[in-house]
Amino acid sequence: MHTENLSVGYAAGTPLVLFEGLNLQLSAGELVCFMGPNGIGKSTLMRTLAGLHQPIDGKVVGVDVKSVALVLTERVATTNMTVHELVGFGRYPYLNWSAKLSTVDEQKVDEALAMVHLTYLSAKKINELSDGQMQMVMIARALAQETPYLLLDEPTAHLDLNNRVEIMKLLRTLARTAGKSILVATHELDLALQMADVIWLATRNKEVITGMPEDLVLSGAFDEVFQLKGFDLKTGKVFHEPFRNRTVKLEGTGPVYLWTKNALERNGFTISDTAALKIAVSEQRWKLNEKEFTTISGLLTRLLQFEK
Amino acid sequence: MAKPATFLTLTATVTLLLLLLNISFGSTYISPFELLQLPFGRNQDLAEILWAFRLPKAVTCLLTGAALGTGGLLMQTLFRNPLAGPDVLGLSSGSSLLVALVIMLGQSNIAILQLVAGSPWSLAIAATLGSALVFVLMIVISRFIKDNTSILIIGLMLSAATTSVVGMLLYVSKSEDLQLFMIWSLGNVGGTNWKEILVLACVISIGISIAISQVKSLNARLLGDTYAQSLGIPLAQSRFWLVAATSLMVGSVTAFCGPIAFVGLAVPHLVKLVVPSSNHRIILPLVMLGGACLLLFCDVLTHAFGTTILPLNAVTSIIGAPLVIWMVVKNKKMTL
Repeated sequence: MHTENLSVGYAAGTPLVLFEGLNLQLSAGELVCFMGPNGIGKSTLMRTLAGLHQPIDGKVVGVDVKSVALVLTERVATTNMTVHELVGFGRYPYLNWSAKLSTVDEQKVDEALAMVHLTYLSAKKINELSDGQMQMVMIARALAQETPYLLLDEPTAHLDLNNRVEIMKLLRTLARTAGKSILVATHELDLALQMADVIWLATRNKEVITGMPEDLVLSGAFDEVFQLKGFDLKTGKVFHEPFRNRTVKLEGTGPVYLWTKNALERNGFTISDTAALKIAVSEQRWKLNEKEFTTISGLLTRLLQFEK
Repeated sequence: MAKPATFLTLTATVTLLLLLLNISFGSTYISPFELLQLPFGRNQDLAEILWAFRLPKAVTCLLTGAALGTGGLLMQTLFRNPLAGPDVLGLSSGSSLLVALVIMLGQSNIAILQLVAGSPWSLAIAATLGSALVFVLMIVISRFIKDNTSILIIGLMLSAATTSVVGMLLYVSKSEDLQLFMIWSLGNVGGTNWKEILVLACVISIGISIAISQVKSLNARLLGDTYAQSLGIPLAQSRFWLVAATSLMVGSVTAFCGPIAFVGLAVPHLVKLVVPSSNHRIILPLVMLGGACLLLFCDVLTHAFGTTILPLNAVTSIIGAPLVIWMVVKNKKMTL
């Protein structure tokens, strides 16, 4: 799928152009994360790519109703419907007017549920699912449609971290093993940076910057679009103000080192190799001026006493 | 959950039993045993009563109930609102307006109008046109307003406005017209002859056929418009057919039997309460049979108090309202 000089927006009433002259491409086996500020038109662009919304200008090449499956933000409110039935809707483009699923269709539904590891939920009513399960079922529904392209609009919104990671990992796997071309609109900056093959970055100039996440980080494209407030992209962490004006030297390795550093920086210390004050960390032991501590909290209390 | 086929057989059996019961009840009671002996006996009077009164009434109940139930289901799914129904959206009021006009025109002194209004088809056409007009108006409004509650409020307002116009028409009409309209507006399944039933059957068959042909789009609409569209459902086209089917059915029913209240709203809920499914492949036939059952039963009740025949609308609402209230209380919220 690719677009040629695509302009997206609303022509009716007062014309509203959201994007102009887009030349984008989606390739098989790629997970693309589509990012940008709220209200910039990500959903509209996705609907246009899916052929559900008329472009203002230009065209989308290589899609029809049978090649794109969607996962939307709107929640299916119907009760009295089983997970199996909901996933079965994915087979609708293949059915005639009577909407009767054949044995082959039923099999595809089971396969789709197996792909998201939710076979055990098949007979459950959809209003009994958790938000995370519901989102996975909606992905299964899209998979049952057997399309080369999968467009998902904020599939991880309202989910806890564990569910968010699970869904992104699933999409990552689907792109690699099933060769799907997946476009995910998301606000999960940290997850997108770690998981996406390509990032589409919607800017306020009605264009979409594309590139490898790492390249976009280093070129400063993210900072420009998001005008990040306190998140340091170069390190992938929240930026801490070194308000104590005190440098400490930290010696050690592994997770213990990283989390100690995190605690110190959050409390306003600066880590430097040339500092006089030295902290040595090892397995569950923190050593400061020959005195040993068994928790970071104990270490910090001591450090703060020095400050007074 | 038992298989849908079991429920279908069960409902069909209940419908048949109610049909028998309905034929038995009337100004004189005919026991089902007498009915069964009829083809072999020589009771001419009984055969006459049966052919001229009881059977037409029962068949009308059957057709009308199926049509109203189906119409209610189509509206509830189309608007994704459990409170939608033909009468809530002002369809019946639209019919009332045109029927009132036609009844008044029939009494006018202008020959051509008398001719038009006097034909047996005129009431049916007027009522169909009336409900179609209101429905098209609702569809146009619903294109601009996406919020279901607003659409429902607009439907209610439209209904109120039409009713007030009918009121004005009635205020200036002659007393015999007034009575004619009053009787019509209370609903009556006993006034149809076989010729009218044939027309009713034809129109309702068309409506139900369209409804069946839209099963896929009805199901897909449960997921919301965008999902339905992405599954290849032609939304505008299917909406047109749903409008057409409902208008045909509700229009013709209103024409021959008057505006029958509540059946369209209550039956889909009652069916879904018994058979917890949202698949229209299962629900649609059950709603048809369920509508027929409810109307056959209500009609039996109108004859249950000796010689006084109660108006049908009074009974449908008295039966329908407590049922719906009970369901809401039991389920906490209504389902689509």
